[in-house]
Amino acid sequence: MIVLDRLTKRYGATTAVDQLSLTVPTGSICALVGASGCGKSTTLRLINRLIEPDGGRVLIDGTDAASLPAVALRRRIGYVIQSIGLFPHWSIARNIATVPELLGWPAGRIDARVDELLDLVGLDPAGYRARRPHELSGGQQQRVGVARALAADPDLLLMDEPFGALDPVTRDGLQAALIDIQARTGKTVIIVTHDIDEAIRLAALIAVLDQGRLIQHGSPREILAHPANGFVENFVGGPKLGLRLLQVTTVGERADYAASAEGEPIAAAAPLDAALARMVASGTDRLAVIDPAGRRGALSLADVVAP
Amino acid sequence: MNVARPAMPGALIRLAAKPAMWASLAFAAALTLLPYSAPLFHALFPELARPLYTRASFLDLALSHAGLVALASLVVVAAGVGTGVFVTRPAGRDFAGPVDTLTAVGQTFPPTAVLALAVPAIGYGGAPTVIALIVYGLLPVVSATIAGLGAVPSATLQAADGLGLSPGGRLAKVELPLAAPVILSGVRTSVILNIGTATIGSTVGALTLGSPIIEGLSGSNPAYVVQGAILVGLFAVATDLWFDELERALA
Repeated sequence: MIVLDRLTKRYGATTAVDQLSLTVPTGSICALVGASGCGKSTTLRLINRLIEPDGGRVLIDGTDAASLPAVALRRRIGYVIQSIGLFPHWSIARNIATVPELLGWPAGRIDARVDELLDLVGLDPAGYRARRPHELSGGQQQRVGVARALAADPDLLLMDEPFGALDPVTRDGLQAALIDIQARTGKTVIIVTHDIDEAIRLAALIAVLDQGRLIQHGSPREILAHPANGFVENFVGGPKLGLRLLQVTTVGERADYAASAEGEPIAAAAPLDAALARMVASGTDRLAVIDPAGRRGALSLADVVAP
Repeated sequence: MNVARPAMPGALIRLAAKPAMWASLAFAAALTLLPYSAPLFHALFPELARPLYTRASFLDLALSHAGLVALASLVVVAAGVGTGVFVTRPAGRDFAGPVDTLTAVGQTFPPTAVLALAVPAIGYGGAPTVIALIVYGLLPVVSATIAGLGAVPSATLQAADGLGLSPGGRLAKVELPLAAPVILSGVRTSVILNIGTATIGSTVGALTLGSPIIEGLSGSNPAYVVQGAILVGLFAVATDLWFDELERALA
């Protein structure tokens, strides 16, 4: 569990992070969102002590981060940045091996770990181990960046707009990879993003920041359904609020299991926007539904748009 | 022996294909053949009674010249890279401006003036020459080190810090290797500059390839000047081409 306790950072007269308190449960993905300059990246850098706070504490599983040497602390925390920053003079394997080498792992264990991580991020170890960073596309480089951050098996992964510089298709693939990796490894992830759709897709917990203050935090659904004020409402929704609400509600929540419909059933776990897309694509206002237990039902357009 | 044989010609051919090898051979040939070139210089300069420099052997001059430059360059590399590293660290950043000015002054200060000032303090010979070469050769190395370290991408540095490299580890494993080509080009400029500059050491009694040049100038003997100039020129060209090889190997 990561606890930020009244964390404060000032630069001259401006307060970049202002008395920020937030708890991130172990094994969940938390997104820090907000406009640029809201203090979200600063908050992330306070956690691994790339910068030191002017006030407040960071507790990692109960241990005050300030009580550990900064360098040792960072080796225990994965860190991924938007500009990736692979070491251009090292092979992909050596890049991934950075932290295990710093920790003095034996060579055999490092080799096995590098292969395991390349597999995890969807790159073929035989084909990529010996390559140089400049030979890879931006998306592949960031996959390596994620592998490098996970190399020493840290419990906490910090990601600073990790997919912000990638094209939409590549970003989509990496978001899916991250969801999969997090599900398989159970890491606690804190991700900074200005892309609310990315936050909705990835995170169980969204924290909205403005001018260094935490304005609201909660599940994507809570934030979308009950924005704390006009700022949050505007930031998370605007004209697309309705469409985003469809993303965070499942078919199963709205389906009528007493009814039935024709056609290929949609999974109850699918989000409502997928159901709506299916209706539009097939020109119908009713879909058959099936839940994991095999129970059948139906979803009508009226169920989708019901408040 | 039989096993090693096929590799040998290949390595030799590769070496023979390098321009640096040819320039080095030309320098060695000039050193070897010049002592026997009296008839040639008699023909070229018929008005001179003694057209071949014989006060010291050309080989001794070349060895002493190379020794002075090597000694000065060792100090220049250690001090220059060290200074460049220091002023790019958080602790030394305030010194970047003054160091920049000082090294620039060092290079605009004429080496002859350094000699003139050093001789009364430490006497004649090689020592004042080495000091002049150090002062003169520092600027290219310091500025190349600063430029090379400054060109390391900030994303790379940010990643290095974030992953938990210590400041020293970051310097040794990431910054210096990435800056090495630029630093090497500064060292190359400095060494080549000083191969030429070392010739003036002969005005204060150091034994260098400048000795025939200085004596030829003062004694109106152009043949001596030609002999010294040919050797210094070939020495500088050969060294420069070896640096070229080194830079290519590093890239």
